[in-house]
Amino acid sequence: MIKTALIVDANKIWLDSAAKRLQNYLIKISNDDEVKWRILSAQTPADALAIIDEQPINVIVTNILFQYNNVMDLLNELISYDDTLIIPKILLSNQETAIDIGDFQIYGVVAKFDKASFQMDELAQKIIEVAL
Amino acid sequence: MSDGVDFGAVAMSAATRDLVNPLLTLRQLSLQLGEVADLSLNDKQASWREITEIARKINLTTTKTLDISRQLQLSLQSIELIKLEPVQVDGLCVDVYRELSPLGKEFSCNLRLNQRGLRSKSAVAVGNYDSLRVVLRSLIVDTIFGSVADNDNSRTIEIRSNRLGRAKVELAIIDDKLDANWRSAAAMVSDNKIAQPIVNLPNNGTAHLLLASRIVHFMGGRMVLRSRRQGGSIIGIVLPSSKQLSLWGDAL
Repeated sequence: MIKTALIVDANKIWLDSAAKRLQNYLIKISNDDEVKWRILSAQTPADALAIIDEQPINVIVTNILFQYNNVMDLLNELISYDDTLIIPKILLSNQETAIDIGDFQIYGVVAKFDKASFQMDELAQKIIEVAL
Repeated sequence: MSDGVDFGAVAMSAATRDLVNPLLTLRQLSLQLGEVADLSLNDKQASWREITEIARKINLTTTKTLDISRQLQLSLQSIELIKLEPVQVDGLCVDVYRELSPLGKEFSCNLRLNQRGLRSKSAVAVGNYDSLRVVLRSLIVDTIFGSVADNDNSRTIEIRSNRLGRAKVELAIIDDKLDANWRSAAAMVSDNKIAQPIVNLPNNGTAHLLLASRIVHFMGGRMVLRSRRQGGSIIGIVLPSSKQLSLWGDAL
């Protein structure tokens, strides 16, 4: 079985690096030989929505801030449909203390990580734990 | 800065905000580098390619970070410390072009020097060569960074110098792909009345523009931001021209 994680961040260099590392950690950490992990990436909420429309996504990891909009555009769109509402979402924040995870639970947000301090193995572990 | 707004506080705020992104990127790349190095025993060739690629990205990101720091330092110092002198703008453009061409090439960004500037009796501006060089290279590095961020291999950035009548000289960076709403940025760099620089630019270019406009203002000049009708944008630095005779064009 193939599971797909979608990672969304405006910074292309950061995104490419994080996607590659995440893929490696998911392979390393996953104990289930029947599951193969695939990582897709998008730089904008609009690109993310286009990917989500085309294929099943098991978990979304997304930055909170984007250049011309913020993550609420993406979350509001995803909350509108049953099949996208149930996708677990993990937020990446630059300002950990400014965000209360409780405010985002209705959008299907299950966790948040601080970009300045998170470890990739912890993120990979969380993805395995919450993915559909 | 007018309206009682402390420029230092605004500049620090903008620079702090714009430094977060490259610093987070450096953190990510350094962690990736460590992991690739650990794996290098299995497939040395593949690892070496990846290490080289990561090193290039670290170089670009570090350059951007250092430029913000240097511009912040220049913009916060006393105006008297920026010594005004005649600056041969074509020579400055050539120097910056030569310095950044390899970087542009590495990131598939086509950096071009407008040869119209290399004519006899070329323009001489009043300014400070070192400060102008920092400003110009920072703005160009931002656009190169933008081409990497957009994954756009066909981006062309042109460096051009123009005379604007007898009294002014313009240094211009013409980016054929950068589409931004310049209204708020233009207000920020022209009248300096914005308390908080909130400008939607790709890759957080706010600090560079704010700091560059301050440094250019110190030299009696101003920055001009405008969209091109055929797409893309022009970032211009307009400086007073010097009466000193140019020797650059004659020397070439």
